[in-house]
Order: sequence, then structure tokens, then C-alpha cells
Amino acid sequence: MEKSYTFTGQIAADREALLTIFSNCEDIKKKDMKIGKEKGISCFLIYIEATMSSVMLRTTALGNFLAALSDMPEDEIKTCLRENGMGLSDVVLYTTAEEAADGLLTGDAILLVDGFAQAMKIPDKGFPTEAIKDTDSEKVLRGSNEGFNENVKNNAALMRKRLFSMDFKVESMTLGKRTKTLVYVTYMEGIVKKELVEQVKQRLSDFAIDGILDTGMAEQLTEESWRSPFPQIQTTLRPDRAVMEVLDGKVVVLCNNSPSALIMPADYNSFLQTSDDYYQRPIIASFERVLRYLAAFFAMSLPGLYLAVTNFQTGILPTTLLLSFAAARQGVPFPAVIELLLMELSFELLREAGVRLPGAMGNTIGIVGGLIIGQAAVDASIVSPIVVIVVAFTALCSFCVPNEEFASVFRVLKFFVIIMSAWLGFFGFLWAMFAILTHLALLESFGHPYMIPFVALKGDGQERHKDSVVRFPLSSLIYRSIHAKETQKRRFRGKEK
Amino acid sequence: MSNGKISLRQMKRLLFFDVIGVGLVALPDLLAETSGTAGVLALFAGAAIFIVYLLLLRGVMKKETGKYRWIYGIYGVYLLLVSGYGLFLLADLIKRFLLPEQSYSLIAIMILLLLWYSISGGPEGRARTYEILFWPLVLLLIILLGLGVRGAEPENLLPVICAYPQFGKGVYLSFLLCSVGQMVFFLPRYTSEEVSEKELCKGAAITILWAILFLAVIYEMLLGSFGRVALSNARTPIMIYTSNIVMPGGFLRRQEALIAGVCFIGLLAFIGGGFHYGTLCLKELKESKWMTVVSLVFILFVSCVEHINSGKNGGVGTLLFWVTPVALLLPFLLSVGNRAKKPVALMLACSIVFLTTGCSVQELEDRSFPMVMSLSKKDGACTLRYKYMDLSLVSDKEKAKQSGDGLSVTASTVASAIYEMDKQNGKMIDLNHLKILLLERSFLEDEELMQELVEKGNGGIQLPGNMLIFATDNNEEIEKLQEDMDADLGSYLEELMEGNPNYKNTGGTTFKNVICDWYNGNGNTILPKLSAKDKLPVVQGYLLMQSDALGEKYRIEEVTEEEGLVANLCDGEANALDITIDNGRIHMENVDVSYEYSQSNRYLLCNVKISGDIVKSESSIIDEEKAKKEADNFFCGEIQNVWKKNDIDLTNSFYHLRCHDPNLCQAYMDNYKKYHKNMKLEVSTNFNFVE
Repeated sequence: MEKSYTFTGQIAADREALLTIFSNCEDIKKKDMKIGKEKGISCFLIYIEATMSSVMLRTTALGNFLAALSDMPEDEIKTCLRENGMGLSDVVLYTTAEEAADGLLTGDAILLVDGFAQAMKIPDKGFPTEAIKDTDSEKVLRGSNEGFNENVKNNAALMRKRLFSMDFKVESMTLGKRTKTLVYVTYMEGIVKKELVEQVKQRLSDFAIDGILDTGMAEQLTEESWRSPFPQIQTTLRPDRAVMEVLDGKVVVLCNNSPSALIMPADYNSFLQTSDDYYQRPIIASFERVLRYLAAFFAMSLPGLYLAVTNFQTGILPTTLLLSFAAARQGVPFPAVIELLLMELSFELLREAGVRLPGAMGNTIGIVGGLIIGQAAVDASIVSPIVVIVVAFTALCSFCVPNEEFASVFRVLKFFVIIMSAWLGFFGFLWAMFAILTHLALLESFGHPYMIPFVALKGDGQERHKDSVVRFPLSSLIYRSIHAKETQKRRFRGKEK
Repeated sequence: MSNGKISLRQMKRLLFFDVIGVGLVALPDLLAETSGTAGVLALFAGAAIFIVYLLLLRGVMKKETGKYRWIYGIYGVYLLLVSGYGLFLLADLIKRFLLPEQSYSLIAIMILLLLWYSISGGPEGRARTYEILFWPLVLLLIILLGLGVRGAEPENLLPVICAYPQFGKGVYLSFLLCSVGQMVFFLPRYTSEEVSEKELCKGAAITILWAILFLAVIYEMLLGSFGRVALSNARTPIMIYTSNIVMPGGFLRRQEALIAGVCFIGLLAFIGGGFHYGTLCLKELKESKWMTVVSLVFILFVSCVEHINSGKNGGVGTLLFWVTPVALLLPFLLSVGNRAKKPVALMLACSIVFLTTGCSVQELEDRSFPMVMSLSKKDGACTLRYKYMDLSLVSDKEKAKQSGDGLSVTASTVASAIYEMDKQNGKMIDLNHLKILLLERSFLEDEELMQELVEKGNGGIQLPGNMLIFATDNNEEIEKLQEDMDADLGSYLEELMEGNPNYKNTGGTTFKNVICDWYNGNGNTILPKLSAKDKLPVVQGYLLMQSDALGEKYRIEEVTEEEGLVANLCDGEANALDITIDNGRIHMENVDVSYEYSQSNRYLLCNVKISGDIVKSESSIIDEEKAKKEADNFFCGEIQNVWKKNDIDLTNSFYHLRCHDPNLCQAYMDNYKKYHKNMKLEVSTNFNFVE
């Protein structure tokens, strides 16, 4: 490890130390200046070009600061700097060059003043970031569509905006040896179980890696079973959802440069819930939830079920329907399983192409793929119309799953179910479904069963069923999730009746 | 939360599935054979004895180490035997009903792999799986059974209290089924600390009672649907039963795959229990990471042995029959706790080998779906033909006829004719969608061929139980009519019967009716007889078939259309009737037939009371009194004429005797000849005249 350089107050030496650290960094600007009424004191300003507004502008804190120093008598400058006489709120003093370099990389300017043995970090506009805008996914029909952006501080502020509580705590950590990504661990003190917060922090600090560029990386490094296709940590792009979860006794992790927040722990049920489930009337919300549960099931099982029924257990279908399936397959050169796999893969290709291509072209791909290629394939007897219907319906189902990562799991498992059903018919289908269910039953997130509230709850724990497949009226949802502290499990008290 | 322990509720649900799984698959036919209509009593008696056993077991469920560790070896082997037998039941069920062309060992290995995976996470994962599945499966079962309830005939359920010679064996069978609950002995170390042994045993007892109650309902429905003898001769009757259930709207044609799913999950719980605790016992003797693999191989071996033995007497089933009482005593000798370790061994090598085995999937377009099966007898041999639906009726894409239309095969037996037809036809023949079975009189009169046909129908579901049966004088004549018809023959005949307003439920005689009547005997099977009229098939007359279940002479008698309808009314199949008289027609509705029996020294008097409504039509010129008189003359005349002339009891009074007088029924149960000789038939009518 390189020996650290301690600032001496000798501007030439101190300047040299910083210039050595940032050699060959053309994006970093270095400016020598003179300050004081007589311009008798040398100073050195260093910053990342894009993070600064013009230093000459008096509208910025840094501009004002430099202007004031320029007009100040030389003998007052050091006292003013030491005592923060300018009243800048966010100034940090560093004694070593390495600390100052780290401070600079956070997007602030570093100022060295001759005769002052510390470097000053002065904030300005910071790194360029997206404005706060609506989310592209997790859309809701009712309620705010405001989404997180890439700035962790903004994201914490978006949560704080909705949560005027002193119990809302935000603890910071840095992840990644080189990226030093700022991570906020947020939770509601008093509601969350302390062990959970400790466990989250422990897991986040359990690994050493070069860089964390998105919450996705942190997620994979902290979850329990990486072999499982099911995500054991939930993500959200919505601050209202994040707030809802911290109020439920969960921990939300925000990560700089990532618009998605991690919700820990997660369970199967929560992946199928949306924010507006709680903004709409219970009957509507429940109906939509039931639809989502069914959609999740069919997104995984329908193609396999189709194969099992048409190739093995033909007796299940009504005769006319079966015969029309048989007639539709006349002339198709591939076995049903190949036909289905071809169509499913084509659909996955179309989806991938649609995601990667720019907006307008992405839409075109959908039309070209769905209408033109699909119709042409049927006309050319490459696939039968019923398979197109099955694949389209399956795709529709997978789109109904609100969480994209969760929907992807069903899309992948669908191929497993197809292969098992093509091989062993209805038995293979049952086999695959039972294996998946067993896997889900074995899965845990932060020590809690993934299938909560369908398993392992007793006593008033079973009240959590009221917010599962069906969403009871808000006045009935008197308890927080099972993850909340036992003493704070009640979240609703109505009028005495 | 996650502590390697299961809750009391999870234990109850696992146990429920253990009992239901085996109970559905293995019990009904055995219970019908031993206890018949008193099977429900046997079920509850067996459960009661087992609850007493649980009370005794409670005393030895302590977490302490005993001296006789070698007993663990015996117990372990016993539990693995139980598991192996469960594996045989499940793999055999899947092979027979879902994958007839797949190898048995592959199915068994796939089940074991799944089992190994579900056990690998310890008892908690398995318990959670069944906790999730509990309500969906119970609801599915209730819906399926609810839909099938109308097919059950209450007459078949009586008398409930009846002295069957093997009733004790039925009780014992029920006790054996409940003995699955002995696994509760191992549970103290797996259930949370606050659950005491007392609560465990109480929970197990309640669960077993619920499961037995459920099985009792299912048994009664099966008994009502099949009848005692047919049920005892059926192999896995629950599958045959559900294959005949019709979903409202006809969306799903046959539901046996759904019930196979329920059995699959139930039996998997049963096998899992035996495997888990068996391995645990063996590990108590010798701790080895290979013990799980050894156990799996042993289970596979046991199941294959039973499969080779085809479940006959002398196999593992029989062994368990005798050994289980001894095994039930073992916990008393052991009374120890144990440590659980996660099974770690893999069986991937086996799976890879078997994954490479091929499966003979026939694509949809490579199959033929006959709608009508035609069986006749020519020159002493069985002749088989199929009639297919022209695909142009359902799609404009295909104009050609399905392969095999017009093909005729003659063989000495029904089975060989079906086999020969499969060989000669270019495509695989899928009999799942057969709607109609045409039986030529020549075939019907051959008792051996009929025997073979019903045996084939009762052994599995290759021939759908819900296809309608028609008799003909000449099958070919009826089959040829399809050439001039707009619809296919199968659908036309199906609609002909279902559209008949006189019929109540089934709209005709199904293959399952024939099978049940054949085995149960004692009754008339009424087969509508087809003739050609104006280039269309019509029902003109009926054939009455009486099987020789009681050693009586097998006979086929032809009756007129009106006589056939009277027989249908008496059988409860129809409830409306039109009769023609000199001045016009009389329409009768809500016709109900009841029976009264009285025994004197010389004879048994059967008074058949027929009541209902005569509907007055505007055009009718018949007055009320005359109409009633005509109806009375009609019924008395028809019934008495046939009785005297042909010696045929249109009222099927012997069949109805069982629900009126159990003692009389008992007296005549095995002696139809005596009943026939002693019986005197009287008919009285009581009709209302309604607008």
C-alpha cells in the first residue's frame, strides 16, 4: 500500500501530491489562483470538470466562496477557513491527499490554500444525473408515478418526502473497493427488527469486490441461494413502494447510480403486489391480484400443459376442440414440442429485440414479429394457429406479472415445464410443477420462508393471509408483515365499534 | 422462523395427504370386496382402533435413547418397504393411466428423484409444500366429487348394516391404512417445542378421522356409482369414476388426469414419509452419507419387485399386510429420539441414463380419433370397425377422411382385434374420444366376448366408460348411414340420446353402466336398439341384457320400444313417457316408481307403484278418467305381459329389494332363482291430471 501524504501547508508540495494522484486525468481540472485583497496568497483548486458550474459565477456556493476570499485581507483568510467563517454547510476538511482525492471523486471541488495544512472539499452541482421522472415499469393506474433516479441522495430524499418521521433512518455504507459506491440502508427504527438491519449490513459488508455498479450486483452478492432462479430480494423503482415496505418492517437499500431500490426480505406474495393495490378499492385490487396469480401460473405452465394434453392425455379435451387442434396441425412439418419451442424462442427474441432497440423501432419489432412473421409462419404451415395462440397467451400472462425480474423467472421455467411435459406428458407436467413448488417451499429470504404467508404462520400471523391472493379492506389489514418487530406488529386501529 | 421444525398444522396436513393418497388408490376395491355396503363402518372401525393405538403410543414418545438400537434396523427396513409399496402404487397408476408406453422403472426413478429433492431440505420444506397444496387439492377433490355425485345410485349403498363374512378384514384394512399415522412417533424432534406429545397424538387422531370421513364419502360415491361387485372388480376405481364425470359446459371431457394429480401428490407424501423416517432409522444404526442413496435404491428395488409381481398375492403388499401389526409395536420397544441430517447423496447418474431413453410420443396429427366403435361376431370371431369424424366438419383445412375409416378387422378376441386394428391402421388409434359403442346382437349373445369386453373396460380407461352403447341387428347397415349424413355418426347418436326429453341424466346406457350391471348382476341392462329409417339411425326397440353374475343364465331379450321405456322408468333413467292410444297420445311426466315387498308363506309379493302427472294437451279429446285408465292399462299390461310371456321383470324388482328390506335382501342375495320363482308381481298406478 502506498504511503499517504499529509498536507503541510506548503502549497507547492501539497499541489504536487494531488497532481501526482491525478496524473493523466484530463477530465480533472486544476487551477492555480491568488486570493486575498492583495492577491498575496496562492491557492489551488482541483475538480472534475463536469461536476462544477462556472467557478466565476457568484450564484454558486463555490463562486461566492472564492469571490469572498479574493476580497478578504490576507491575515484573516486562514482564520476564516479554520472557523468556516463563510458559513458553508457542507465543507469537509481533509488532512491527507488520499482523503482529499476520495472527496474529489464524489463530485466536489478540493481547494488548497498556501499556509493552511488542510484541503477543503466544497460542494457544487455534483455529477450530472437524470432529473426525477416517472417510472417506465411498475406503472400504476392510480397514485404517483414518480420514480427513483440515479442519485442515491435524491432517492433518499424522495422517501423522506413521503415519510415525515424521525424514526426513518438512513445509514450509509460504501461498496466496491474501487467504485466506492455510496449505499444507503434505510429502515424505520422501532418497527424493523434490529437483527434484520444488522443482517443486511453484515451481508453488504461480507464481500469485497472491485465495483458495484447497480443494485443488481449487490442483490446477487447478498441473497441466500444464488442457484435459485427466483429473486430473494425484491427491487422497486418507486419511492412510494419503498416507503410502504419500510413501514412494513423491511429494510430498503438504495445504491448510488441505480434507480432501483432493494427491499429485504422478500417473499413470493410481495412480487405479485403493486402499489396501487392499496390505492384502489379492495374488490378491484383483489380481482387484479387473482388475475396476476393466475397469470404467473399460466406464464410458466400453459405451453407445457398444451403439450401434455395434446400429445398424451387427449381425453381431457372436448372432442371437437381436439379434432380442430388435430386439423390445424395437418401439414406442420415439426413435432409439436419443436413447434412450440420455435415459437417460444421467437417470442423471446422479439422481446429481447424490442427491449434493446430504440423506442419507435422497438414497437415496430412487435408489430413485425407478432403480426407479419406470425401470420406468415401460420400460412406457410411452419406452425399451427393454436400454437401461436398458446404462445401469445403465455406472453400476455408473463406481462401481467408486475415485477420484471420475477416475470423472467416464469419465462425461463416455462422451458423446463415444456421439456418435462414433452417427455413424460401429464406426469412430467405434474413432476415439474411439484419440483418448482418444492423449490419454492425450501427457499428462504433472510431466514424467512419465501412462501409466507401461505406457510409457517400461526396465531395472528395468519392474519397476513388477508393481504395475499385477495386484498381485504384496509381496515382489516391491522397487522404489518411478519418481518416487523413483534411489539409494533399492529399498524391500524379503527374506531371502536 | 426457519428452524428445521414443523408446526402442528403442517403435520396434520402431511398426515391427511398420506392417508388420502393411499386410501384413494388402494382401498376402495379391497373394501368393497371385503365389506361391501358396510365398508363405511369398516373404515370408521379401523380408524377407531388406530386412535386407541395412538393413545398408547403417546406414552412412549419421549426424547431419550433406548437400549435396543438394532430395532431401528428392523423399523427402517419396514418403513422403506412401506415406501417401496407406495412407490409401486404411484408408478403403476401413472403407467396405467398416464404413460402406458413408458418404462415402469423410468417413472419410478423420476418419482424418487423428485422425492429426494423434496426431502433434501429437511422435513420443513416438505411440510411447507403440503401446507400450500392442502386447500387447492381438497377443493379440487370436492369439486370433482360434487360433479360426480349424480352418477351415484342410492340403491347401491344399501344395506349399510349387513353381515359380510370378511367384514373383519375390511376393518383391518382400514386400520392398516390409518397406521400411516404411526410416523407421528418420530415427530417430537421435528415439531416446535411448544407442541407436546399429547397435542401431536390428538392432532394425528383428528386428522385421521377427517381423512377417513373424506374417504368414506368417496367410498360411498364409488359404491353408489359402481355397485358392490363391480367396485370390487375394478382396478383403481377412482380413476374410472372420474373419467366419467362430465364438467358443466363440457369443457373438460374426462378428468382422470386431474384425479391422477391428487393421487400423485398424496402418494408422494406417503412415500416421502416412509423414505424419510426409514432412512433416519437406518442412520441411527450406522451414520453414513450413502445411507440416503442406499434407501432410495432399496425403495426402487422393492417397487420393481412388486411391479414384476404385478401386485399379486405374495408380494410386498401381502407382506405388509402381515408385518404391519408387528411394526406398530416397535415404537414401544424403541421409545428414543434421533438426530436428523440432511440427505446429501445424488442420483443424477441414474437420471442421466434414463433421460436418454426415448418416449414414444405420437403427435396429434399422427393419431386417429374414432367416434364409433363397432363390434360384431362373424364366423365365431370378433369383427371390429371404427367410424371417424370427417375433419372437414371442424376445419376447412383438411378435407380428407381420417386414416383407417372403413377398415375392418376380424380376430378371435376383442383385445386381439383392437391390437390388429392398431397394426393395420396407418396412425395410432386414440380411443379416448369414442362416443358410441355399437354392439351387434350376434356379439351381445356371445357371453365370452362380452365378458372380455367388460373386463377390458374395468381394468383401465383405454375404453371410455362414458361412451354410449347401442345394440343393432346389423352394425354395417347403421355404419353405412354416415355416408348420407351431415354430421358424423358418433355425434349424431350422442345428440339423439342427450336430446331425448324423456331421459333424466345420462341420456342412455353407458359402457360403465354395462360394466357395473355385468359385475353386480341382479338387474336389467337396457340397451337401445338402432334401426335405419329414412337414411337415419333411430331407436326402435330395446334389448334387455341380464348378466350371469350370480351363475344364472346370461340372456339377451328383445322388447318393444314402449317396454324398453317402461324398463327405463323403473330403473330411474327416465321420468317422462308418451303412449299412443286409440284416440291420440298421452304424455306423462314426473313419473316415479316405488316398490313394496311383503313376504307370505307361499310367495314374495312385490307391489310396484307408479305415479306421475298426465299432461293435458289442448288438442286432446281424452277425458281425465279415461286417460288415467289408459295409463293404468298400459303399465299393468306391459309389465305383466312381459313377465308372463318372456319371464322378464321390467321393473327390476330384485335390484330394488335391497333398499326396502335388508333381511329379505339377505335371504335372496345369492339366490336369484329362488327369488324369481317366489316373486309375484303387482302393479298399481296413481296419476294426476294436470294442465
